[in-house]
Amino acid sequence: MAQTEKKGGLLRKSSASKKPLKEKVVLMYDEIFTTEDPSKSNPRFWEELFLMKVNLEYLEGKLEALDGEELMKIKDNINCLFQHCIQALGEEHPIRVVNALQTLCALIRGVHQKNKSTSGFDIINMLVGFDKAELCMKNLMESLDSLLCAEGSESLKSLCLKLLLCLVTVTDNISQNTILEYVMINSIFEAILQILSSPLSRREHGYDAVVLLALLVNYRKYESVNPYIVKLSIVDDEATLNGMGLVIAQALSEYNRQYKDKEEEHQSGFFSALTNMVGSMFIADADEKISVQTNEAILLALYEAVHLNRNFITVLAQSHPEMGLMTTPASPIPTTPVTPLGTTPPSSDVISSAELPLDADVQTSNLLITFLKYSSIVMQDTKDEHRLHSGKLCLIILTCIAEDQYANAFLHDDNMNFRVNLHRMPMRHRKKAADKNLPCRPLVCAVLDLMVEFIVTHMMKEFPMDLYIRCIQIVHKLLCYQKKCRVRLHYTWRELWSALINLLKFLMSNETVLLAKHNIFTLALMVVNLFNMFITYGDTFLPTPSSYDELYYEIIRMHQNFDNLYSMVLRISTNAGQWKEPASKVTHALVNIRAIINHFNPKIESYAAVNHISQLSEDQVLEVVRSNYDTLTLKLQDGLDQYERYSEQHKEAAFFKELQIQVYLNYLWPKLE
Amino acid sequence: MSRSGNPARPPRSSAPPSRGSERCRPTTAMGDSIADPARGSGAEPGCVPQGNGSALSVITEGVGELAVIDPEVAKKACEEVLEKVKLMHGVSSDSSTSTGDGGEAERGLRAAGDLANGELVEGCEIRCLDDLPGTACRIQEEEDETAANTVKTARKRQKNNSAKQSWLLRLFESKLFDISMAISYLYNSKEPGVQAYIGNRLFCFRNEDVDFYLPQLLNMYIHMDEDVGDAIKPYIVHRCRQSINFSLQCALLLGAYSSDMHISTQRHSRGTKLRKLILSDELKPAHKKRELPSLSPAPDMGLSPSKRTHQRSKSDATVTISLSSNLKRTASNPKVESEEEELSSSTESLDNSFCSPVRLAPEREFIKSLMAIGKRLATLPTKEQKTQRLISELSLLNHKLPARAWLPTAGFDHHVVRVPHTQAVVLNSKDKAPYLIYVEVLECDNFDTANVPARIPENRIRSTRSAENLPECGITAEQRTGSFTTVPNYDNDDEAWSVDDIVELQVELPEIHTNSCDNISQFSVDSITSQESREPVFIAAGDIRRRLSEQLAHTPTSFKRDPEDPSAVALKEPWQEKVRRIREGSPYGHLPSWRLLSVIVKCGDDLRQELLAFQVLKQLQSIWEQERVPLWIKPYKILVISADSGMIEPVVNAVSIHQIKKQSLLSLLDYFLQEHGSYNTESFLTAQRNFVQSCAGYCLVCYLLQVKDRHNGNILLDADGHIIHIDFGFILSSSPRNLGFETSAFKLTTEFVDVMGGPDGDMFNYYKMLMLQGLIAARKHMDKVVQIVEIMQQGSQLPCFHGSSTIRNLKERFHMNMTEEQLQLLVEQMVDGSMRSITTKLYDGFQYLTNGIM
Repeated sequence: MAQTEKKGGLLRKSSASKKPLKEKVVLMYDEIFTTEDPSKSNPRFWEELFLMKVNLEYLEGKLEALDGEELMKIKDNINCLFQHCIQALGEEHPIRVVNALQTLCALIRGVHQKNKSTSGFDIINMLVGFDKAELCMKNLMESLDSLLCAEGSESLKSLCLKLLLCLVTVTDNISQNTILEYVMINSIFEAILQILSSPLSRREHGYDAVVLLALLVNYRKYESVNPYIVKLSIVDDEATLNGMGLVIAQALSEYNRQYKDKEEEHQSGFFSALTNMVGSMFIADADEKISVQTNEAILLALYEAVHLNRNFITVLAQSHPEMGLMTTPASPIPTTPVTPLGTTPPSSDVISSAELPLDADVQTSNLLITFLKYSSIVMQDTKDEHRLHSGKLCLIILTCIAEDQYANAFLHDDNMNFRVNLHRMPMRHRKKAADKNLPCRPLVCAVLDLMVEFIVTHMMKEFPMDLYIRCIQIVHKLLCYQKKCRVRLHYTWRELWSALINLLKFLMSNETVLLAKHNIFTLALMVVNLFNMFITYGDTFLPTPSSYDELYYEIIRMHQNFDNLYSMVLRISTNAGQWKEPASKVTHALVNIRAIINHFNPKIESYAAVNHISQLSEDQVLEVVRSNYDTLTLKLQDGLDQYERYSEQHKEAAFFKELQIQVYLNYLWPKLE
Repeated sequence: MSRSGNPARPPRSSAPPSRGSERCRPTTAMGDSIADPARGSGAEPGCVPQGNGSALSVITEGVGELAVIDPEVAKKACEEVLEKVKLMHGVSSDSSTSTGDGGEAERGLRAAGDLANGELVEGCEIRCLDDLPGTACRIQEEEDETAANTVKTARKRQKNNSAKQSWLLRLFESKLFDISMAISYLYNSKEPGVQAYIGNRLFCFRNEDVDFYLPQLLNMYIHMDEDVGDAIKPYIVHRCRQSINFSLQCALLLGAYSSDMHISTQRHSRGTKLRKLILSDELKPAHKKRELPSLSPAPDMGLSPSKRTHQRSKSDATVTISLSSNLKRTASNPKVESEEEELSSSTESLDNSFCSPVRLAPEREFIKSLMAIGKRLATLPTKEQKTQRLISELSLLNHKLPARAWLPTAGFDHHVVRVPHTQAVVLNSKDKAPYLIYVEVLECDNFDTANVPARIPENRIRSTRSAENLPECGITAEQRTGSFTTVPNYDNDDEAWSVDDIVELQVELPEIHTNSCDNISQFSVDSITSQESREPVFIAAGDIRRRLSEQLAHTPTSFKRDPEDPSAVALKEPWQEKVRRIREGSPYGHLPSWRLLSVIVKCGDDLRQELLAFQVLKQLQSIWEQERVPLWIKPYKILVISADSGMIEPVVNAVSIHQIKKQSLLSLLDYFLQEHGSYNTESFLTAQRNFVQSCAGYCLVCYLLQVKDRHNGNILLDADGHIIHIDFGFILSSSPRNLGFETSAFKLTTEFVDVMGGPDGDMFNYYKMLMLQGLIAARKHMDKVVQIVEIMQQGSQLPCFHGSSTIRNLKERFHMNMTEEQLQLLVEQMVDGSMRSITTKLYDGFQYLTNGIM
């Protein structure tokens, strides 16, 4: 921290002239760490203390040196210090307030550091003392709240947020952090919202505020009524929600940019030094790992916003210029309270206060596009735990989006076309698609592309079954919307079909390996049902009659795979065993596909025989298909267009607990050090 | 004669008696000067009621009485009037306990004014006014202003030759004297008296009639001598007070038409001053604040003449008025303004309660943001980027809406509530960035008094998107079990919020079908029952395939999305369809007053020529209507914002012929067949007739106005088969570059002739006959057309007025000297010439090569 460094400099200077001399503040700390009441000898002790510059290092070190029992001995003094800190927060002089905030930070962290295993109640007792805890913490929260809401200095607000973050992250499992109970009772939710709604404070503290909110929402989210969840779910102020969206978009696009830089660095060693330098300018500690380290905290915030708040969905489509290119304007434009349009005050000037920059290169983007790009990077590689979690969270967010009516409406909006550059993994058998040739399409195409990309690139030994299931579910939900609303998307469905067929092929060829770990029949059933969806409801959402023909063509062309799948599931479902039930479901689901194959294959063969052609061209097959529809009867399957809605509480609780710990691990400790 | 039966003229409700007095005084002065100078300004004749021009034209004003009306008859009539006034007055004061009868009293007074006018006996009129203190105190407000005029005309009257002008006066008072003639005399007469008279006569015409000539009036105000300006100004000021929209239009036009002046003179010109006055918001709507003061004194004072307000005493007798005002000031317009300022400030507190403190600011801000968007778009290189940028900019603009803003091109009062940003499109233009936006508005009765609608967040529309509201096509829904997709949600923490919200949303939207309130459970029941009945349902694959092709065939032919021409798809979509779609997706869509408007925002283009063309087209249209020639043209409204920006009202349901040919790859005739059916179907014949009538109309327009740059991108075809020419950037004396293309009289390609059924068909003869009839009709009313153009030439630097012979050439094209047989020959020649014209073909080829226009 800057403060400690400065202090070090001072010390060195003095030590050069004289014998090592202890700072006054250090001496005062020493006084606190005795059993004596320091104000006995010096009645103005506490007043003086907060005029001194805080020596965080010393204070924290001192606290860490003590274990629980030793701490209990000097509990009264610690309690005293804590209370006086809170008192000092209310003072007018900013120096005192700053010092008090820092002291509190050190105090809380120091006490926790040594007593990780101690119960939350004991820690509260050590810090505040049970008897006074309620009042003390109430005062603390109220002071923080008013500091955050006041017109005061930005650095002060920043410190307040740091203190709150410190409070939230002293334990690895946030739900075991009993002290947060007071943060629940004395909500600072409104203060966080206020920070997010004003452009100026959002620029300064938006990130911290969003992360803090995400963490607070995760406090005992399944066990008790968390007021932050309740409140977040009903926020409808557009300015605030947009502010939150902007912070998230900014963080995600910063990641995208860093990744891109790194990728280019890989490609051209010549510029590596340069980009490294540039990269390090943006992030404080830009060592190799961090520059592409995923940001679960911000992703968690995005998830909570999308999952809890239905109004936030509109923010996803809120346009903003490409984040990476928009460096924050140097001079903060004072937001004029004048109402520019009429008597109704402008409900928001979130972005409009800073007019969109007049830069021809700036591509308009929105949070969803940024998020899709981010997801495409994160999902490329799911080998390590972090990325697996990140990728899973991305898919969960997409699931929530795919279930939302409004989100679907703009995903499928024909007038909102975007060019989304998804990252594609370089693979041996395919060339890197030229970015420039991407057409401008509705956003749902990008989502589908992303899903297809995932399906194609993750058929590996360490099979991410869970992610695959989510991926197929997302596609299914999108199709359900299209079917329901009769959206005829001009998408190259063929890519999806062949990806799905390849997936089936992979499942079959690795049957034994995969069956040891996963229930591959669930996934196979979902894939087959996607085909069933196309077959039975294709008339409601396919773009052209010929695309329906193409579907049949693709099925017929790849009939081997379906045949194999059928014989496999038939074999397993006839044997008794744990897979009997799920496998037999797949056999039932395959009925229409098999009907198609059995219907058309003889027709094609006879066509070839009649015309003396050994190998039929695609057009010829399509011709056969077209002329033989009428003799084919299909069975209507139930529930093809129904899905179970996403639900966090029962199925995902463990994942989110883990994720929260991960956030705690890779975000907060390094940052506050 | 008596017009007490039609007192209801709502838009003009602001204090008519006071205006009446203001108007009539100079009138009298002039009238006197003509007929009987000795009577002097002592005359205080009747007010001239505005509106209802035709009925009015039989009325003789102050002077009229001298010449025509028998004094005895007049006196009797006048007494009748007075009786009526008293009666009404009594009624209103009886019921004055409630505030609501203010309007009634007002109406009574107005009726009185009207009646008095009808009879026109000056003595009676004076008494009438005296007896009505309520009226009297209002007179004061504007009389100083008019006093200046009075004095001036009074001074000049000595020089007038009464004998010559009395004939003129007869004309002015005749039935035939319409706004067009008024404008013409205002422009041509060098006589200040005549000008002043006409300035006052303007009040008599219907607002809409005068509005049509607003560009002419303002251009005269700016560029002609002081007398004309003085004559026009009271009317303009008066109308500005009445209508915020009129204020805006005036301010914009004044700015635009002043821009051709040298910058140094421009700053001090009258136009600029008036513009500042309007924009300074001093001409707030006056009706509210004036009604109120008039109420309280009326019952108190009754008919007692002694208890007048101090203000009234100043202007007690008309004789003293002219004298005192003569002493007080000499023709000083600025003073008038300051007076008005005092006035408005004195009643500001009242005023605030009725309308917003800033009247024009929100609207100007709205226009400014639209223009700023246009400017920024122009910097982007590709259409795609422009479109994306446009959408995102508009979504930001949405945050500031609803606002006290409106679209001046609309014909009704409204507030802008939302811009459906995703619907906006960038139009085809090489270097500028005109764009088309759709604007959701809520209609209101009176813009000045209505409150700005409250904002409804975007996501509130979700409930209307429930499955029920989506059009279900065919029988498929019933055939298949369970058309809803979701299984009920068992997630407790989720459910807790969503249920609440759904209930809340349904309260908000009363229109929602009752059966939709429980859709989730409804459908889950469906799916369960279908699962229980284990009977397999079979469907034929052929049916699925057939339904797919049928459904695609049934959707009206739409254009394919083309990133290089984003507007084609948007414009092809039928307007009603679009309105329905946008309404469905709008959070305001459920409100009954919801309307959808569209507007093209042009930035960097001078629309003054477009406005001129619009006026000429409108004039021709009414001439043809009057003469019963079934020619069809579609003048589209233009809002000139400045010399290089403006807005255009788009023609709905129309796409350019270029877009048609590019998208359909068909000839025009084949496209007609595709859209309307085969040759002998009724719809094809109707479309063909529409095509012929519009084609003939526009050929005449193109010939008369010398409209150039007629490539297929500038000719639209609407859903009924009409063609519509757009872009009047090159008319009269200007043409694009001087390559010598487009030498023919108008554009008539063989493709057009094919649609008409070939050069030997009946329809083609009909076409030529229409042209002839249209030309004869237009010729008959040539003055009305030429006048519009001629006045706008005044002080203008527009390219269409380049050279000195613009007007002469225009007049020549009407061929006044030809017999009808000669005209017929001329039409034949022009049609033949245009059909054979090699240059038209060349020009299309040239456009294809340079701009890719087919």
